[in-house]
Amino acid sequence: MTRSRWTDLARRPALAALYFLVLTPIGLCVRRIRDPLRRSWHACATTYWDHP
Amino acid sequence: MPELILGISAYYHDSAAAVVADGVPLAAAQEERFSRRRHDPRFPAGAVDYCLRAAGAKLGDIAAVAFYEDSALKFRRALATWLATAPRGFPAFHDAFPQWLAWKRNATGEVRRNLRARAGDGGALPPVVSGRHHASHAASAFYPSPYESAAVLCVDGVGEWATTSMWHGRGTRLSALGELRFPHSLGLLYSAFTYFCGFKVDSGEYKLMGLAPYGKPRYAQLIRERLIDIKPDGSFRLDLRHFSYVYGRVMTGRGFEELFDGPRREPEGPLTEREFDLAASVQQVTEEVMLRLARTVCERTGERRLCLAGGVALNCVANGRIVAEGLCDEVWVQPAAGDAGGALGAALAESHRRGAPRAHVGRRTDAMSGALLGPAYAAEEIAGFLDRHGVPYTRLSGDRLARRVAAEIAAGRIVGWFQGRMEFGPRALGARSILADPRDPGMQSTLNLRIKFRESFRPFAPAVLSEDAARWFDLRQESPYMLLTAQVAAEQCRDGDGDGDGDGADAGAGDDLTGLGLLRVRRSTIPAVTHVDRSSRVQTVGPHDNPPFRRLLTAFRDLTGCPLLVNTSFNVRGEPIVNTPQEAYTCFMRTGIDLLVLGDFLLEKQDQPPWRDKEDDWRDAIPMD
Repeated sequence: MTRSRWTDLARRPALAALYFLVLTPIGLCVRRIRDPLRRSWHACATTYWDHP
Repeated sequence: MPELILGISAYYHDSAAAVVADGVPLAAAQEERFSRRRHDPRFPAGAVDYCLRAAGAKLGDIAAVAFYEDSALKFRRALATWLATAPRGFPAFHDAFPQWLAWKRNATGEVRRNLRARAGDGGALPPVVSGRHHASHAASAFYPSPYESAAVLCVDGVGEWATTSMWHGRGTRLSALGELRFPHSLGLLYSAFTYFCGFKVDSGEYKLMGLAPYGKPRYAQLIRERLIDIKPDGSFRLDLRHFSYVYGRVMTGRGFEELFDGPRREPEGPLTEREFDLAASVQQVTEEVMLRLARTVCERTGERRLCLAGGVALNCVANGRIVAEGLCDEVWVQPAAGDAGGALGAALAESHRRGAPRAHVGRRTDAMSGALLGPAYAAEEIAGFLDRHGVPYTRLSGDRLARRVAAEIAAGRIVGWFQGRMEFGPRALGARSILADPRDPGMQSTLNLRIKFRESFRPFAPAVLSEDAARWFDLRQESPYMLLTAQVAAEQCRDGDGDGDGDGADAGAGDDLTGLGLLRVRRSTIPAVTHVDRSSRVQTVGPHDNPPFRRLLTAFRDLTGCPLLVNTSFNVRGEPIVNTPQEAYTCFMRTGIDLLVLGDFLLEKQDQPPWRDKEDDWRDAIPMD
């Protein structure tokens, strides 16, 4: 699909606005409750398997 | 009429299509072989057309189309990742989000749109269903395997969330037992090192595996301490502070540079001791994890047979370790273990869900037809092509052809071998192969530099008659898909100085050499297929496998006493394996291949008219892999 020059020019600010004004605050709030990616290591755990 | 299911994998890398009839794979192929674009991720239009032709069906005859993963769930994973990495992850978000928004979150809709374009306005369209990425891998590993029941392990980069999964396969049922989730991924760990060592991600992993025996695993402990926490049952987590793939455009960043002595190697830059040692280290850790995972899934299921799939299952060194350690009685690896095999797995899963039996199990063979599921070209088609272009040839068949080609190989000539149906999966298995004499100590270098135009460190693999394999390799089971490595048998090993006394007792000679210097040592009676650690990635060819190829191996054994040949893929670096006679002829004329065999037609280089490429240097037109 071809895009006009204006679409290209508008794209980055629009994406930046969505990312920094919407996703980032939500992400910061979510991470205060729990990390969606569960990045921490647990030395005491015997396994990391998830059961479906 | 049997119930036909069309499977499709696409939109990440290695898109493919497969068609199964009542649970039996009829045809399968990767799109790259038709589009001539390596690892092509686009909708597999050429592969779909081929599969329909092979099944003698139109789209309207297909009962269902099975897509190999759940794109909506994958989108939710992307969304969770952006939330988890904000505000750091803007570059990745900027690159990916528009595509997700436009079409990627509804991949089945995109598949439907592409199929509609192929069916035309009036053509009926079958329903499109989607499976889960790892369920497709598990199905591709278990359903075509020869086992009534087995443990199943899938390990790859990432699908939706799962990066590693274990299953129990019984009859036509597959039960999920557990999974590890993104961003903790053994495949991505390996890809991060692939990237850091200057190779292409999702393409150069097998180069890193080939590089590993040149190095010492001096970083392995550092990897265990800082990058990956491995539990005794093989489950693991990565320390994401050292990786960039979660939030960035590249796999690794400053964390890796600090841990591993400086910046990443530039692509095509010189290889140093560090890259050899990094490769050896990550390979050792990968094998350790794979061994623990294999032990766990066998214990959990109580099974002594293990099926493997997922991109990491292409790591034939790790697979070989699982076999060598005797963790289970037998291992079966899906020949298209990467994402291409997901097309076949999705189709099989849907077919068995609808009640198709696994009829092959009673015969104790697998259902993959030797992975020869791609297009074939009839003698008339090949003759037509040769005659149209005024190409001189000799026609021989059966044993006469085999004896003639065996004699040519024994005389040191290199043969392009094009026979029957093309292989499904990344390995050439004697249908689209370049063949040579494994006893020739200069052959590895000749093949790498004069034929394949690729890096000098890359090893070559042998195809061996299965009944003779035990005399040449320490292999505990058949390896029909070249997905297991084994040590060259001690009786074939010789001392390192090349004086040929060959008692094997001082086979450690040359151990003072390091890096690429190791290539100078002649380690066995088959040096062209003996890697620097005396390992070999073996393909066994059994009595019922690929008759023309087996005839050739037998003729070579009868002539020379050596029942094996160097078998490498029929292509040059960066190019997909040849599919058509035309592509085989072009590769033959562009490279130092001496002889081309197209079915029954034998072409000699010196008889051919002069070859002129359109491009001044055709190699510039092929992107580096």
